[in-house]
Amino acid sequence: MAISTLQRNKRRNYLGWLAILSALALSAPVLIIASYGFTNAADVWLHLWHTVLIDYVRDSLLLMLGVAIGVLLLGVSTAWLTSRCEFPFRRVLSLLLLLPMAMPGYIIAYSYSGLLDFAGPVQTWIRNVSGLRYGQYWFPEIHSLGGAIVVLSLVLYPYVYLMTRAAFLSQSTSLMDVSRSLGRTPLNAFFTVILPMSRPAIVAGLSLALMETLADYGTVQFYGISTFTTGIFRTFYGFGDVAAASQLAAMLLGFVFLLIALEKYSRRRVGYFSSSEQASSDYRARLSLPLAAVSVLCCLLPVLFGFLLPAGVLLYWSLSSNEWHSADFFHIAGHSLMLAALAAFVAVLLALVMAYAIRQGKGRLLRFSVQTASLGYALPGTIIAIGVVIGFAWLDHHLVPVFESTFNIQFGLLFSGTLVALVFAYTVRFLAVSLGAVQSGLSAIKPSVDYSARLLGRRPVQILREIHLPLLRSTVLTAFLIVFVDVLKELPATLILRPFNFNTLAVRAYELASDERLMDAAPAALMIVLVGLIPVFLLNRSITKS
Amino acid sequence: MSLTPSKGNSLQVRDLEVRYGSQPVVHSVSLTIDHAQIGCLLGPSGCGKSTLLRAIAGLELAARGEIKLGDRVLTDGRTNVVTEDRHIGMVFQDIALFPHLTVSQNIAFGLKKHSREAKRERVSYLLDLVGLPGIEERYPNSLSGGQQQRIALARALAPKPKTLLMDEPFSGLDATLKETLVPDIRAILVKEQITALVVTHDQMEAFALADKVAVMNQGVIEQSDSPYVIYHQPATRFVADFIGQGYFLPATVLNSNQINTDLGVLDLPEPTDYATDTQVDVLLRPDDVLHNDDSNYQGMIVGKQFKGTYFQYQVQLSNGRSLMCIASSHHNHSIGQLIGIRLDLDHIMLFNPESVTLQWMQGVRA
Repeated sequence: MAISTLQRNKRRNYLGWLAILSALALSAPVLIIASYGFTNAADVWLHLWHTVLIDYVRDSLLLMLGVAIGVLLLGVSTAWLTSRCEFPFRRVLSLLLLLPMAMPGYIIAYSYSGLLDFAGPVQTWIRNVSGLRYGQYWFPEIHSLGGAIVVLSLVLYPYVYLMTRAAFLSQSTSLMDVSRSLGRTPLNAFFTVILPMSRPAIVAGLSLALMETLADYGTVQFYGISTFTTGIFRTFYGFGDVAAASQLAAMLLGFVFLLIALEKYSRRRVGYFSSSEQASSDYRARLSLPLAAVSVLCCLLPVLFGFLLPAGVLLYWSLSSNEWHSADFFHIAGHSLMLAALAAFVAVLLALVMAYAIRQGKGRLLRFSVQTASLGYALPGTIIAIGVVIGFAWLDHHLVPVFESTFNIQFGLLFSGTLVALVFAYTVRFLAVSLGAVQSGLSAIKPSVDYSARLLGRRPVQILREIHLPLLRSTVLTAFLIVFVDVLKELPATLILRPFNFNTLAVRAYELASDERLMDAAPAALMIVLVGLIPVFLLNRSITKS
Repeated sequence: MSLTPSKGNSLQVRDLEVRYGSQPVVHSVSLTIDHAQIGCLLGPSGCGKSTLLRAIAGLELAARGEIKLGDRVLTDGRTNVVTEDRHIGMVFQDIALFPHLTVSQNIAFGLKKHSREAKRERVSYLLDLVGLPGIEERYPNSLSGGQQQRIALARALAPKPKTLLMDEPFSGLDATLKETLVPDIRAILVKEQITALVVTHDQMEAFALADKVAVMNQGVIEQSDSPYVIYHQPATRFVADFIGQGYFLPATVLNSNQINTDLGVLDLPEPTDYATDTQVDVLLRPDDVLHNDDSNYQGMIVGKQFKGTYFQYQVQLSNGRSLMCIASSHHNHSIGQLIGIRLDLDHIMLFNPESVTLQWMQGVRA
């Protein structure tokens, strides 16, 4: 009967240490790359500077600038229209505007490339109608910086849209009324009052979109732009120069940290500017017929060009592709789903361990290590992959020989180039997603709920089964699904870390598209897009619920 | 009260110490709540009252001391019964109903070994008891705050615990709801003959609920007695200050039978131990200073509050000291006016400013 509580305290520590160790392990790739930023490699830098670095920096910055303008225009305008104006189909459109989130950048890039390049249906039609031939008419080149900016903006604007819309909805409509009673026109009030108040939310959404832009590899590679990610790939594969690739990755990491700082800073101000005590009203401006028509168009175009058209193109190609008849395709799809499920399982499991450890203890080391491990979500897969390559190579060369001599068995390469490395990298990249979901679910179970159950005679294990399991089931499932889909879409880390001859849907689409076999790439791409709709639906449900 | 006190389910805490890290939060606390009595732990936030409650529930580990429930030792130097085996009911500040269970499943949660029929009977009895019959199948999120608190009480009472602990059970509820809920809950506890200990920082709540109030400050129980005694005979300066609207009027000891105040010389009903010329403080409640036109002492009204049946004036004496004074609601004076005031004490509490304890004496007239 009388078990000392002291014993239980000791058991808690095991969980804490398990969480700290796994968090530290997951932090390793980031720390490895960050350490390259501090190593003295002047000759490598000098070489990069003289050859490619200026191109990388310039193209990366131009791409970010262009995408920033694009997502701001699309995101803020649609957010304003759907939150503060009333027009036909507004509710449906406000949900449809999220659809482009399901479309990975590299896949929309393939669609538009096939649609708009010289041999594509658009230019063919122009030639047929006008009778002109190649070079006799002007048509924008899709394989360009401008093309990349447009397609990335089309799929990344929902970040800005979501955050800004939430900010607009939390603002009291009386602000607009007050401004107008003080003699401002609605447009003037929008720019002097509403927009400045929503700036933190807009900047937070923008920095998320820019993180994705920096992380992108598939789009810029396909459109032939020299950004950091393509540069890292070229240095790593083309020249086999791990040191130089790591230096580039470290520099890219610096850019990402700037964005993280920006995002954190603006999030802090989000609460500052929102007026939670004022009940925000549901008032929406009724628009005249012409204005309403323009609004419908404004909200429909991003959906059309960001999702419906490219998805339609993929569907059309898929129907005429032979890929369905290849056993390879289903083999790869099976691989992909299995790998994604495995990685999602690991990510959710570790998230549960860390979330429970944090719930039970207040250790500073625990918090710090978990926070570092959560950074992975902001980092390009390329950086993580290079960090994993370096870390696992070190393990193979230093740790495995120790095992081998101890147990007298030949292991060979235990880590590098295996699925272990790949699943590990996915977990690093997507831990923050599962951790966030699990923590928010767990925070709904107040400690006093646990205490109540114990006072009513339940042992800790029974509390887990009777209280936590039913309450957490849906959040854990959601976390699993989101990581599952993210892993399925992931391209650059998979390219670098996949075992020899191991393919996923994303890699398959990438390889076929690189061979100009867009039609055959379509089935894999379409499948990724369809699976990608799952988290969009989940998001929709949580938005309509609140 | 009876001649042969039966311990029953009395709650006894002796010499208890609880620490957070090396920091003691509860120092050598001793407290007894008799069987079927309601005790209140009253004190400012951070005084250790919730920690004491959690230690009784087994949610905090006692560093030293003993907790007994009737004849059963819950913790002492050698044994420590874990929370789930203590048979203690507890109601939390944030209510903590299980959101995925219905009202009836919540209440029956602690009734593991009962038959289905017995469970249903107990649930319906408890719902009647807390005044919410017929809501068995509803979920907690469809109930109001007051209803949720009643269900939480029913859930805690369901397994017939040996004692019930409540941690700030009313703090999340609005004032009008409290006014009906607090007496209701007292009636329920009395009817069920349950030994209860309630933590609160609200003295009106404590007075309305408890047979015995223990005032806590900085981890120590300063005084524990009936609400009446706590109010009228505070044992320490802290209790006098914390309970009721009170303030101190400085006075000088003239001789062992008289003290001199701003409102005249007071004859003491019994001799004081303080030496002549000692500076002392007299505790005054607002109803100790009355408006009287015949009085020799006058003050200027600097503030007034209409309380319905009476006015509460803030008056300033010529030496700048300000006092609270009660006048009947017919005496409507305006700010700036001079009114006569006099002391009307039926007992007197003297504090030496350098000590924490006080001298209490009954029956004084100025």
